[in-house]
Amino acid sequence: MIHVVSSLNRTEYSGYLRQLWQQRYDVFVEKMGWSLDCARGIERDQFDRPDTVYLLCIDDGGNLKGAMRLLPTVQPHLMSETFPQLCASGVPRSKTTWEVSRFYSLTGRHMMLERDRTVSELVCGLFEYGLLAGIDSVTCVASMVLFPTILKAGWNVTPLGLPSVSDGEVILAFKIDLCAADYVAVCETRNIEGSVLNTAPSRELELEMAV
Amino acid sequence: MNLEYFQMALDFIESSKKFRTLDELGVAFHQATQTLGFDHYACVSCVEFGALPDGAVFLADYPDDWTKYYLENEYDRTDRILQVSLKEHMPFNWDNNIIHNGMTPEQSEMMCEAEDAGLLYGVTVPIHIVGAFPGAVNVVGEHRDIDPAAEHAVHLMSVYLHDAALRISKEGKAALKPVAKLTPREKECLQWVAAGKTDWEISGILSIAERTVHTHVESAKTKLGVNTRVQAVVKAFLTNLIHH
Repeated sequence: MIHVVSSLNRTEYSGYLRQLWQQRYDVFVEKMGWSLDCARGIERDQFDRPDTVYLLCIDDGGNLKGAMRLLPTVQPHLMSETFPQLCASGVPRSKTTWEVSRFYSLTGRHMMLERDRTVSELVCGLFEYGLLAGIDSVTCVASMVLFPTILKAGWNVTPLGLPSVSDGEVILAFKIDLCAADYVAVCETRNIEGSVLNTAPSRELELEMAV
Repeated sequence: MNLEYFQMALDFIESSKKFRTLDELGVAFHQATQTLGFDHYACVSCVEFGALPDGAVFLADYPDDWTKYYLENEYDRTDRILQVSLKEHMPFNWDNNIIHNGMTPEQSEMMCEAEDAGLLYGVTVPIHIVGAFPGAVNVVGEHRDIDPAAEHAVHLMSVYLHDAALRISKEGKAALKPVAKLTPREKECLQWVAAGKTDWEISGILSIAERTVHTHVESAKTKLGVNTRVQAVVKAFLTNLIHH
């Protein structure tokens, strides 16, 4: 089940967030070897802010199995601060576009495996949350190695610029549309029936009040 | 960043999402890569050549005589580029050390022969998707002085080419099935054509008249809807009518 953690319910999830920093260290620093500037055992950066939203995949036993980080593109985010050179015509910034980063799953040997329930819940949870919260697209920076797998998920992916070499890896920036038709298709491919969100997202209320 | 190259890649990508046939997909990719300075391309799944299972793709525009020569020599077993693309996950070009270090004499000889056939320099994009056959897209030509930005455009387009080819193959799977029915003799003759034998040699092997061999091959060509013997062999391989 996917839990949406935002400024509104953060305090209820402080234990899980501590686990999140540790798991992110294990995955991105230890396993994937990213050179991130962080304290030993804890991977947390300037983008883990009060307005950051997390989608946490928590299993029936209450264990954190995977997560992703969502940042509003109208605020400083990974693409605007670290990788603006990857975008051919500027970093896309809009209230309805958020950035996905630090996506990982602890279950399954391979990150994007279709059989991996954690990844399926995270992907469908992203669609569900996005559609409810009025987010119509997400941006992301990823390695070329993962790109064919990301494409195959069955959603509409548009590159934002040519790939480029960074830290010995070929990486690129791209945008994924979150529309209802693709949501249905992705749920079908990934064998997800019905809602995977734990509670109705609080962002929806926030946006409605802002209108 | 080179905007012109990116725009060209984007144009191909957007149209690749809409194509319904492998032919139009292949033509569009070929045209785009020709503009970038390349001559040929191949988008293949790394499966035993000749047995193309569901979920595998094969789409190419390589010189006919090279393809024939490659098949005859079973070069898929020697091919250094194919070998490296199975191990490597990042796109690479053919000047890269990962190709040249550890190459066997047979492999370098094959690379020299490929050069003579006009396949001098290329960019390879390995495609590794969990739960699907490994694959590779090769974009090849006679020029070495390719702009690195153009190669990055090739990387991007190649991933979309493979994705669209997979999608179209899946959509067309049902429609593709009843391709042609060849008689056992026609299959036998094609099998020997694939092995590089002439009609006269085949007539000796099968103890039938040379004219009869010719008739069998011609009839197979008609059934498969192709114009040349090489095309007949390739199509028969790809539709599982004949095997290695």
